[in-house]
Amino acid sequence: MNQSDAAGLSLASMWVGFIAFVVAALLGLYQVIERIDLIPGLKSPELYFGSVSTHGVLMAFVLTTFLVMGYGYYTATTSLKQDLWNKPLAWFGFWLAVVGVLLAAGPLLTGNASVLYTFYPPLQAHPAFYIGATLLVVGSWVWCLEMVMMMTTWKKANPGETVPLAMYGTTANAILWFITSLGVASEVLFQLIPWSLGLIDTVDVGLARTLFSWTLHAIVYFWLFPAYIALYTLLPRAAGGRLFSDQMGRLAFIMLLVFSVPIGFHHLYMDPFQAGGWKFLHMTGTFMVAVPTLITGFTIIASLEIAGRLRGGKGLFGWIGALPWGNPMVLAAILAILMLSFGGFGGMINASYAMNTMVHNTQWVTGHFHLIFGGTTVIMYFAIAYTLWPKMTGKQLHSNALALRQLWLWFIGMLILTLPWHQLGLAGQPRRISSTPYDESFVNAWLPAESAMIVGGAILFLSAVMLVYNLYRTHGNTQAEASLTVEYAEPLHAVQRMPHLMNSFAFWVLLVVVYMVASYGYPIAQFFLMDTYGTVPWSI
Amino acid sequence: MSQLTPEEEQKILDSSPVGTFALLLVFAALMLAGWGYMFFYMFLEHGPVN
Repeated sequence: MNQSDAAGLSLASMWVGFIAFVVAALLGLYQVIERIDLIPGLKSPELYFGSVSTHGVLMAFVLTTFLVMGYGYYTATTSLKQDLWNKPLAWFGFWLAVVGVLLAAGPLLTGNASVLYTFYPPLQAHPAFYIGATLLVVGSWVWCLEMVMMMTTWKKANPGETVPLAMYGTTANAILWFITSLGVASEVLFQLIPWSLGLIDTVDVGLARTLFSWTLHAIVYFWLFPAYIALYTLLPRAAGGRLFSDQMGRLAFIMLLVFSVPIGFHHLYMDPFQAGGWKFLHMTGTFMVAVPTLITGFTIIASLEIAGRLRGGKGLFGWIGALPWGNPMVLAAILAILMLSFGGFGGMINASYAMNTMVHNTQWVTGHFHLIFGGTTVIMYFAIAYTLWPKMTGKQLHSNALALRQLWLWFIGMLILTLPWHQLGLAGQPRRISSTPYDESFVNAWLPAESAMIVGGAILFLSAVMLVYNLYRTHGNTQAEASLTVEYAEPLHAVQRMPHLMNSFAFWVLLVVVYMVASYGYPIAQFFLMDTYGTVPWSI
Repeated sequence: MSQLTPEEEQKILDSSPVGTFALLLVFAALMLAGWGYMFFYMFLEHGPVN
């Protein structure tokens, strides 16, 4: 089969993501400078909130969606060794998403969508922002369809065979994304677009926030899935070893699919329209979703241990030093796991119903999600790019040394940026503010941490530029890549026959639906059953 | 890269990941200590809601 069937589409998709990423990193640098009033001429709350909104949209929606789609298309064609299910349709989905981004960019860049990249009324954006976001999501649904159809057609052509782990994880993510995006899609379609167009006067804010919470947490796993897929299927071979267990990977993917969607109320702990019992149920689910992450942590570290020992590492921890730290995939994975540990600790505090009150809506939260997303997830996106760019372009990576420096800088910059944010959050600094004009003694106490974040922001921007430069120069490299075949990790014990439930999704999707009805059914239905003081449910 | 005999390689592949267990125990201890610090020192120090 033609290895490069999806290469063009994957490259185009990932380039859109990384261009958005470098612009977002520049905006991030501006924000940390503006926030501390370092350059008075830059002081502008309007510009700041416009920048924060654009930064968030570019990082959380554009980089992620296009990276996930590009990586997914390439994974599907290379792991299944078959062509795209419907190539014109896949390109249509890509262009639809691009048009959506361009449409949303207008109001974002003109300050007409400064809603902090959330979909929380009463903040209201220009209709073009909501319509653009909808097109982006619909474009990504095309990707979901492609992934499901590719796995289905492969299984029909290979009855009884085990779906490759990389494709199993990719399909799990496609299903997860489709289910989780239905929440925000309903909110935007039935509430925000009619409201922003002036067709209705008001919306039910409680219903809107509940629908957004449906999407808000599982979207994090949509972003994180490619990182986990790369950890399971690319890292062990890059490290020179084997995957400790194929089945553990499948179990983690299934658990992420089942547990990550019906837990969004931990974003609503302080909201009055959902009762404490529902929040407790969602909190329990939130802690359940830590299990697949623990499974992943164990399996990946065990895989690295195998590699380290095969490379001559001795003793309890000697294998760590024997790992090939000069390989970008290995280095990124180790740094990602470290940041996941820090970020995961912060997440435990966020998810605890009681302790959440201590950090709610403070800079702690910003530090947490930057560590998990900007740290763990995005650094693995870099590793995926460094691994696949030579395969997709047919050219060797421009500079391995530059890649390693870039990864270290990203790690150091992210820690310098986010650890002080945790401290600021505990000191009571609110998030989502453009400056800190509060009590003078408060502001003075915050100054060292605020200054550190500028250093962190500058390092991260430099790292972002180095990434894009390296990838760009790879296209012009005269040295051809020796092999265009993506080498997926071999499991320690070859899979003989996979149980049906771990080789399909029908049962798990049914389970998600049941779980969703149980955890979101009444909390949504209540808005239609109780007096909403003149607000029309769904506002149509 | 270390040169291993096939027997040595097989022994490694058959062995338990003791280093991983040890590392995760250290992680778990740190997490537990951190959570205890956050709950008993940082959180409870705020006192009851007035």
